[in-house]
Order: sequence, then C-alpha cells, then structure tokens
Amino acid sequence: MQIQDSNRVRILAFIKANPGTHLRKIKRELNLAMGVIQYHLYRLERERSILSVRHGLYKRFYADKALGAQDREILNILSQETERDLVLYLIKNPLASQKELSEFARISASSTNWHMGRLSRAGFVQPRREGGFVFYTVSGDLARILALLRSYHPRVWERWAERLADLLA
Amino acid sequence: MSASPTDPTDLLEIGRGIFALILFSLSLYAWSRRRQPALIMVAAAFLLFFMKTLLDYVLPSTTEDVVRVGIDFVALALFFVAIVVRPRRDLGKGTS
Repeated sequence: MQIQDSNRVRILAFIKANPGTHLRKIKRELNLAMGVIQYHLYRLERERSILSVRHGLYKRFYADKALGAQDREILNILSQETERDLVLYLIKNPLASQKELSEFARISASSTNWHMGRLSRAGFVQPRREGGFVFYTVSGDLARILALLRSYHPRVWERWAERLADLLA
Repeated sequence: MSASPTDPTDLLEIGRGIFALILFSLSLYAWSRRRQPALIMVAAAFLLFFMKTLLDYVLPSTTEDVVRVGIDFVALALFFVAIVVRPRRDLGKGTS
C-alpha cells in the first residue's frame, strides 16, 4: 500500500512538473509498469487531482491546479453532453432562439430553459430578450472553448450517465 | 431456483441481477454529477431489482412471494415518481 501510494505521489509530482505529459512518457521516465500507471492515473483523475484532455493520439494529463479556473469551468460544462451540444450549436449559430435550441437538442422547452439557465449562470452564454423571445450568444473566449471542445472526449460511462440524467431532467 | 448453473433460467436470473447492479451504479454516478432527486429514485428502483435477484438466488425457499411482489411494486412506484414528479423550475420569462 505504501509503495502504491508512493508511486501515486511520484506520478502526480511528475505531472505537476510536466503539464500535458502522456502515458508513454510517464512510463518511460518513471519506469513503472503500464498497468500500475493506468491504475494510479485513474485514481488521481477520480479524486480530481489531475485532468486528462485528448490531443490527437495522446491523452495528456494536467495537475488540476495547472488548469485555470476558467478552463476547469469549461471542462465541467463540456462533460455534460446536452450543454456541450447547446454551446456548440450556439457557436455555429449565434443569437439562436430557445425554440431553435430545443429543436436542435430534441429536448423540451423547459429542459432547454433549465440548461440555458445553468450556462447563463456559469457565464457561458448571454441571453437577450426581444419581445416575447429569448436569444442566446456564447460569451467568453471562443477560441479557448473550441480548443477544449476539440480535445474533450467523454467516457462512455459519463455519456450514459448524462443521457439518463437528461431523460429525467 | 435449481442448482444447475447452466440452467437458462438461472443464467437469465444472474444476468438480470448484474444488469440491475450496472444500472444502479450508472444512476448513482449520474446523481453524483447532477444531483437530480429523480436519479436517486431510479437508482433505488434498480437496487431493488438487484436485491430481488439476490434474494431469489441466495434464499430461494425462504423468500415470501409477498416480498417479491412488494419489491416489484415499490420499484415501479419509484420509476413512476421519478418520471412524473419533477422539481419546479422557473419557466417564467424564458420560453419562446
């Protein structure tokens, strides 16, 4: 147990010293078995000490504190399938109405309202009321959001959990 | 339940239990991310299905029929409440 923990501490220290490092590099530098590294990375990710972001073929690891608060906020939103889709749609179609968003995401108007409320409170979207309608635009650093969107790949388990939650939202 | 592990009924029974356990974990995980009360109800319903399999498999002769039927009833009631009863949301000005 002590050895396992010390391996985890070594891996975390390595990721902190080398933000954006990947699995093979960790294996090469720390000379640990692949299975051991995968196990500790899984545990570290679960306890939110690190975050992983996929860049092309490599899954890159960052110590949680290496990412800015805004990036963490973006990743938090990206982990929710419906909200990610809504943000993507809004990037492509600025000033989309709530009705358009409902039709695109195939969710009820009340669900859309709920998701957009969350996005709005997180500062991701800016609502604009005109007449009886609400239109939304994405606020914030679009290039940064798109870069994280391209590199984020949710796990199957996360995707299923989100779908189940959406079904009951 | 018969003793033969290759009996299709037994296999289906075990499959049902495993599937219920997976669905229970999934809904619990979804709840930990979203904190929607409906997800806890659905998780409880799946847990009941798992418990029913466990009872059928571990204590086949001692489990009363009323317990089995009761578990089915409570699970269905939990599904009903999870689907039908929704938390109030502020729908006020946001609809278009």
